[in-house]
Amino acid sequence: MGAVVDLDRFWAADRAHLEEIIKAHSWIVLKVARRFGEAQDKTDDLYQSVWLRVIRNPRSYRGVGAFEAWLFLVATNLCRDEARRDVAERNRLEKVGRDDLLRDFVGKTPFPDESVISEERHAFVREAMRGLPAREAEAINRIYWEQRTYREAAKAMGIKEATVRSLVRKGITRLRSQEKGLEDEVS
Amino acid sequence: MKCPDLDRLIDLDLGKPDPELQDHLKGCRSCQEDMGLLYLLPTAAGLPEEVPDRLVDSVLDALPGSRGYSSPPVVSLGQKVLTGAIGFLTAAGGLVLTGSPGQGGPILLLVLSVPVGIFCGLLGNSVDGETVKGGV
Repeated sequence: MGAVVDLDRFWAADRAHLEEIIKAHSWIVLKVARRFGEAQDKTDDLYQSVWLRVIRNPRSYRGVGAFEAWLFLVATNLCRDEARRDVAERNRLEKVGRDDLLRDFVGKTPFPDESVISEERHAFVREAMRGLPAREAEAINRIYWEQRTYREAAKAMGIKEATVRSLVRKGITRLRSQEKGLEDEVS
Repeated sequence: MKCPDLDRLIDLDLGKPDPELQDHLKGCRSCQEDMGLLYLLPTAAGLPEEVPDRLVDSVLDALPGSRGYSSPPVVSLGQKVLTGAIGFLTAAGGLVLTGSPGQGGPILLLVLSVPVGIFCGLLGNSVDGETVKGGV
């Protein structure tokens, strides 16, 4: 999926290579920016800010983990920071209460040990996702890819929040079992 | 602590603070691997979609070597000195015109104006050039 990162060229900010990377992976950045940017211009700003951060600090990607997963984390953390600032500003101005947003943005995803998010593992998980029961895959997609809250996902899927949680847990358990080559643990 | 159940790891990954679990994660390879799986989920679950050209172009324009790229401005020593001198003269002139030095005379004038000149000289080097030209 997408251009493979050539670490030497990436670190050297090779223009042609950066262009390939940006074109191939922009869908990830745009998705995150859309989730956090309420208005079109805000989304555009976030999209640009993420890429500028990546371009200016290429060595922050050490090449151990999957580039897509790394990029998603960079985008999410930057957009969360921006959103938190915006929410704080809006609350200061006493416009509208944004409790839901504040709660959603309370966590800042830490970067994991890159060895547990390797390209190979990423490819395996992507493939395994295709084999999940449709509802489990949909629940995981809404929570993890679309970054919806359980409440939002439940509403979109027309089911209870608890059911979404259960579907997500079952799906992840299934992925974990497949990866470990175990019998399906999902009951 | 014992290794937590999957729900607790999911909650942490989705942003629920859990300092105890975070401490546990530092030393538990098995839980780190489970968390790794969660980290991979977003992009493994997502499907590529079309990105408007104008957005991609706005970033490409910011790449070194692009027409729209604005490199950080290089400020020469002469420019810094000139900026500092202008700052010094402006401050000194303002103080003289308002009569602020009073009985302190030229010494006080220097004491008050030199820091302004130095500040102005340094300010000339603070532009970071991060503006993206041809924005979206």
